[in-house]
Amino acid sequence: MGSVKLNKSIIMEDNDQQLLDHCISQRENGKCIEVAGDLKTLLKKYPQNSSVFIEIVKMCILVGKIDRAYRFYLKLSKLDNSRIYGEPEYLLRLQIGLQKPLPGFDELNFEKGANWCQNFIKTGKEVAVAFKIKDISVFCSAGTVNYIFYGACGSCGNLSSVELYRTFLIRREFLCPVCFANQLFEYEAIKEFLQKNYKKMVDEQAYTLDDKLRKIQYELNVDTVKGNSYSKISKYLNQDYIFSLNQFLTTRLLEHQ
Amino acid sequence: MKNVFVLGFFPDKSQALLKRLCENFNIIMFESQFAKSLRDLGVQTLEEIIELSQLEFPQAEFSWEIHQTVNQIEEQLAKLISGGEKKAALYESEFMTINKVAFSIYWRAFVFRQLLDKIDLDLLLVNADYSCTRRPMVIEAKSKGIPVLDIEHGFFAMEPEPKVLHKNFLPSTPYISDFVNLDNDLEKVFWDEHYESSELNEHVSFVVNGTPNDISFDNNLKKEDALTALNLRPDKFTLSLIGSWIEARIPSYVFKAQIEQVEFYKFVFQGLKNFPRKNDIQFIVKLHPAFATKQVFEDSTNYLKHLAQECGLEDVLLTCTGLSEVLSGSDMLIASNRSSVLWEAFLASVPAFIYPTESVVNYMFKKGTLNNCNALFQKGAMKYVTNVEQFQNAVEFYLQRENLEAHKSLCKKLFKELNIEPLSAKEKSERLCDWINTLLESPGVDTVEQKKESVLMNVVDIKTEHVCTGPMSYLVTWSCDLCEEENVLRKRASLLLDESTNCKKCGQVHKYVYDEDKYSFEILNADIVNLDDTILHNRNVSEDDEIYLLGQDLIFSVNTYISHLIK
Repeated sequence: MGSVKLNKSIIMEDNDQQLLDHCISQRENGKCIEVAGDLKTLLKKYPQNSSVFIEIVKMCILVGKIDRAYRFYLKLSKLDNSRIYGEPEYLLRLQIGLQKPLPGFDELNFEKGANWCQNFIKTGKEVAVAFKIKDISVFCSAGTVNYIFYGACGSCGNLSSVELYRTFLIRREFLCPVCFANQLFEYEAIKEFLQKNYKKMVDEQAYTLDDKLRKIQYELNVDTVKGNSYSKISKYLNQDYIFSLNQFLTTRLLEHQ
Repeated sequence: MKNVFVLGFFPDKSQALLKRLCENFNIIMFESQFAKSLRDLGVQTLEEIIELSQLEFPQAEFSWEIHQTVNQIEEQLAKLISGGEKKAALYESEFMTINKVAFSIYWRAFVFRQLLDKIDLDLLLVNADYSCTRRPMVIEAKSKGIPVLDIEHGFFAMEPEPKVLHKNFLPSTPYISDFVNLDNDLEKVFWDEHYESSELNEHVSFVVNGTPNDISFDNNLKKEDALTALNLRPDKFTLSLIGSWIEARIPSYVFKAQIEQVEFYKFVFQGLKNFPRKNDIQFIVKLHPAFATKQVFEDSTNYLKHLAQECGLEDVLLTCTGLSEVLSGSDMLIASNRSSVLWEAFLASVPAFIYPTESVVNYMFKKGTLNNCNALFQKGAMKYVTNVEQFQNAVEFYLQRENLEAHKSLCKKLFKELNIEPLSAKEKSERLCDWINTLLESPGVDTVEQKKESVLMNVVDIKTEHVCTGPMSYLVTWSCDLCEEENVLRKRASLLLDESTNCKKCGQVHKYVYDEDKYSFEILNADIVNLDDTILHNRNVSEDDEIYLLGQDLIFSVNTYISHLIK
């Protein structure tokens, strides 16, 4: 993306380099918290390695710890004299977060930077880019319905996912873990995606299946009191039997769309 | 004192009830639902009575049951997706999910059975008997003839009467407890009607002692105090939006109903975007307590703040808590669904409206019945609004103080007419304890099941089952005394234990009692002793012998085979 000139003053052992690559890969998949411990271990072992510092600064920005990111950035800036520390996008994001000029920022090259950076440099304004939904998974647990929306960053196209719990009542802004663009994920996009791709599940056809499941619930209840058709576990599960059946049915309906 | 097992009540919502129960009865609970604050009140845990480490989980029995359950799910799934296949195989992850939940509740039911064998339980008291964390114990208690009382936690007086629903809506029958306690007579009428038109008629009795929920509407809270607590202005008209959350129990709830929930907020806010007196109104959005987790609350409130801003609405309070303050501080209320809060709004004399989902208007209710669906709607205590004009008119109407006062007078009149007493959780709990005492002390008062006078089972045949890996099972075929339907009862491990069960066709209770003479089941007679010796002798043959290598499973098989021959 931008200029890359890394200071690897301490060469990493192969397994540690693999661990750092794993951390980078996890971060790009939106899972930077999960590798925070690994980064801490690497920092202890390689306190002069700029790649480790860069990854820590990125992680801190992504989890919203801007002040901490800045402290690590200052340490990073003391590691060598080049003042160029990897891709420029995360540094621009850090500067926006700090709301003050970042030392050495003027020397960064944004010509090949992500779209949002170029727009920001030109206009001084930032508009959140839409997270473009590509696919969906649904998970029910004890009646609570949770969703995973898979999609692409509106700026760099990086694929990632957003988890939603219980409701579509959402307006969430979050940073792309690759290009640090501010992405917007909200209800209107969900509605549009579902109406376009899963029409049968959002129009009145869904009610026909509702009736069938309601009937099963009714029969199960009656059978629990005065019948022998359902297994003991089905009777024990009762409404969770219906929740599960609905979950399995939803999975298959999504597959068949 | 009578032994009462209490299940599914949580100290944060049911403190008053739990306290009164402890004063009146010997209370037993599962440790997982036990709060340390209850220790001083003398609550015992099941784990103190039953030594769990000494129990052996009935693994084989569980495996068979889970096998049957998965078969049923796969068959029903195939029918639902209409693929023509007889079965739609579950994925491994799906099996694991169902197995995990099933194992946990099967273990719980097993442990509960041990308790029933060890002590004389007088009553099982549950909240929401339809939950899988309670239903197994309800089934087990009922099978032993122990009365079960369900104390509901919500309010239902805004529910439609069955007659206004389309034919495809089957009666609503979620409970199977012998008794279900409700808040008021209106609710009783509603549930009685549903059960009377169902096959569960006579299996469940509804009683009214009040719903003792600690966090429901507090009638003593003054409006000015509520507004101060909420940091709202007393000189503005307060309109509250009551949100719901959707459990994924039917297919349309997965996407469609979720979309409709958000459209409710858009309906209200956009409906007032160009309303001339919108600046006279302050808003409270009371989200469901299920939205109280950090991420869900942040996501929801971000959306609602943005929506309000787009519509030029400035004073919007977003909260998940403080229901009493919200109700006491409100001048008008609109809900996204048939929320429990609507009843409490009635108690607070707040004009309440519902913006119905598409399924309610087009699919659930018969045409023209929305505002005639039960007594409260018929008498004008609450109303459905289906378009912006109706909603704006309602707001305009109640912005006039005299109309608010008239609504309060109407509610006051209805309280009297409908015999509604706004009691505290403590008062309702005391009533409930009195009712339970009367139930348990009355001679002859028994479960609804037993009221149907069980008859002795007419056993037609007994077959052995399960030749390998341990305890013998017996399939007892019996004929119903009333309808002559042939039924099968599976007896595990022993034929000697008495048991009651219902006819699968007519529901008549039949009692199985072991009768040695009548069944002439020689395998249990003394003559078998010689055969026992022969079979056991075979276990001790030399190590080279095939029988030894097959081990005890072969002995079980041989024994089963011989029992068939004898019979």
